[in-house]
Amino acid sequence: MIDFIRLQLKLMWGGNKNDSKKSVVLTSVIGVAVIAVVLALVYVLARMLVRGTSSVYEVSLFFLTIIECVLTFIGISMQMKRLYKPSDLHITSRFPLTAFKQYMANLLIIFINLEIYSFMFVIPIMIIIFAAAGTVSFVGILGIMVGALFAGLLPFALSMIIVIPVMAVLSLLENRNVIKMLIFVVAIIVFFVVYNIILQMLAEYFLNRNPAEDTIKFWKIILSALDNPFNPFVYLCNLTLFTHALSGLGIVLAMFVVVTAIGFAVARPVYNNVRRKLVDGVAKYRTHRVAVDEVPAWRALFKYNFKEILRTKAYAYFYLGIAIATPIMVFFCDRLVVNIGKAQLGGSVAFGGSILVISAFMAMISAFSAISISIEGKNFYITKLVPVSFRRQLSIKGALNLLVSLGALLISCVVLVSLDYLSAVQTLMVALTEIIFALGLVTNGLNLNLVNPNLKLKANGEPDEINITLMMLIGLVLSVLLGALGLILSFMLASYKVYLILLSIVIVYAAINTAIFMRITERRYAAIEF
Amino acid sequence: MLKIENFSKKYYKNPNYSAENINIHVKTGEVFGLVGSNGAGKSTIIKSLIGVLPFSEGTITVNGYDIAKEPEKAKKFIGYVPDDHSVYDKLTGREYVNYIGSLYGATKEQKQTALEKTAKVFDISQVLDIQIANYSHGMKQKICILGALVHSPKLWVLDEPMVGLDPQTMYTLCKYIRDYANAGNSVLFSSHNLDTVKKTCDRVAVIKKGKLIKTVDLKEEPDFDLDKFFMEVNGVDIE
Repeated sequence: MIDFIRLQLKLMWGGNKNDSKKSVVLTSVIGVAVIAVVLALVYVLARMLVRGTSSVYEVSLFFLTIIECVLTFIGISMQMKRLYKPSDLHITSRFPLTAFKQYMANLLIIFINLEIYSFMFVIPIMIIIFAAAGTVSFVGILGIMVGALFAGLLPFALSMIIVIPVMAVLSLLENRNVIKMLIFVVAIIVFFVVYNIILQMLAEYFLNRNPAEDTIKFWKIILSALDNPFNPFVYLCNLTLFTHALSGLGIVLAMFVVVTAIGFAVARPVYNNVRRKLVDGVAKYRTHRVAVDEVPAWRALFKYNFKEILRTKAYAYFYLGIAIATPIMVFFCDRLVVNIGKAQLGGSVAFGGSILVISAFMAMISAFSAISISIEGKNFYITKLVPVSFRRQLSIKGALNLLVSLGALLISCVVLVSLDYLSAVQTLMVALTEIIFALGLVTNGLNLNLVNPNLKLKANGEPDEINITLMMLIGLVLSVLLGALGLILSFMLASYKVYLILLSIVIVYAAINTAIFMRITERRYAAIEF
Repeated sequence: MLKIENFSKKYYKNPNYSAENINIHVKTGEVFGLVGSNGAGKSTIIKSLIGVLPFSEGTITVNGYDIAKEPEKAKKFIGYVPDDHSVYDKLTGREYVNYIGSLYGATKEQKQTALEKTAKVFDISQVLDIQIANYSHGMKQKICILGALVHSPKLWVLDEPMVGLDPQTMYTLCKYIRDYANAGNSVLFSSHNLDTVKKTCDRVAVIKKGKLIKTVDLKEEPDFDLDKFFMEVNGVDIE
């Protein structure tokens, strides 16, 4: 059992030897950047809350509650992955370990992982909060260590129980991709709304050097709602801050024991049932009959590529989900940029601000063009086999991507003009600039994938995301430059000159990338080894 | 139908030839076999002649079209079954055949023939509306065969087609290959199974280390001992 645990932990934390150096470096850089941004955000938010007369206790409780919720979410996903939907059951079921021992070993592995995560989250975030409040001390750090040690307990116990209804819901949603997509879109929108509310508060805080009154009221309501004995994470906060530490410790341990016992009693029979079904290989395949048609090759390619996107889960959710949610996110972000900008700098920022926001979303959607070739995986040979030129095949993939971007752009523009954020002329110029920018981004993505095709798919059949990440970075940097230029020029030149300059820039960008695409496609294609 | 003339191929950064000075002519109505040990160069020849691998030496023409100069025209006459049965897993069998057929410009009738008659021959009709990801190894091989035949190609190329097939499907496939050639088409396939090659092929080429050692006409030399010759070529004493 110990060897089993050691092996599984090594597989989880040992890293993938097949990852290229480039991929490892890029992932590490992005990881560090994300952590830095999150910690900076925590610092600013904590500072704002403390200045807004909230106590360190309330702020700590708020962040600890978020950490515990995140840990519970991680726990649920690990329970599902390790216990209820294991990808390695065909290997582990041959191990000389009973199902019960494997169950216990997996629970222990999940527990150890949650402990690791709790140290990773609690220590830096709590230190940042103390730093923001100016109350860093030896005793405080000792408390944080104790808090980190116990922070994994309740999420572990709760995840054992919550995973069961979650699985039931997921099982109901199995093969109901449209509903899943809608849920995903709603989740993205909720995330962005919350993100924007916080961002707006922070922006006001930075501009006025103090949080606005509404902001203070808003946070008072949230923080006082959290500070009640029915919030199970209050006791962890008491323990971490050494406020009623002993009773906190006692209640945390008692809750852990009781919830784990209930979880064990409820989850064990479900686990046995699921495992038996998995081992027996009882499978029900959904049939889907299509009519045989006679369509030209380009239409067949278009249809196939759309199906490919739709049926590659992560790809479909993030790609189409972002596209569907874009108009709503543009509305919120644009409101923030334009309102704050107008208040501080005047009405002329609307065009540049809108270019900045919409370009960023165009960049996110178009980034998926950078895996147009990679997604073929081992079926890449089919693209070489069929009597259709690769340039044509790739152009159709690009056109599909462009069409998705344009759909999102069109609705975004309708939203902006109907809410009077932009005038009709401004909207027209935004649309024109963004259409050409999207063309540049898509061809840039295709070129990137031609240079770095990477046909090796991951175990789940999804392509490596390094190209998407890279293309997203390129796109976002260009968006910021384009938006910033639009904002700056708005104060220096007449509107039509600003339109023409931005339009010229995106035309050059799109022309260069299209020319590269036309020039390198067949040559690079021939050189792709598989 | 197929002419391979003075064909040689080196892989990138590999100083040695993987196939060297190969000359093969496959006539209409003929079944041609390629035999050789692992790494002999069979797949290199096949992947080059179907237009998947680029090459710089020699010419390959299919029905009069140069695969390097007029790939799109030449490819229209080829149907290919790969050795690893890679197919679009996310499609159903019917969707796959329909899609591949459209890329080759197959008519609705041709697609229906593949999905009804050919599917029945290979006993795969019952799973055509299930996603290919759920298929077994043999089923994937069968759907590859349907995809390769949907546009009624003049030249049917199969790379190690018997691997992983059950005995009755092997028998069906051999018979189908023979019938397909008899209907005025050509078939070229590679195999490790000398018995299958002897029973199915009109002519067979023995390849070793990228070189064509001998082409045997099994119709003209019915008593030719292919097993013995193959073992001798590969340095195995069968006495």
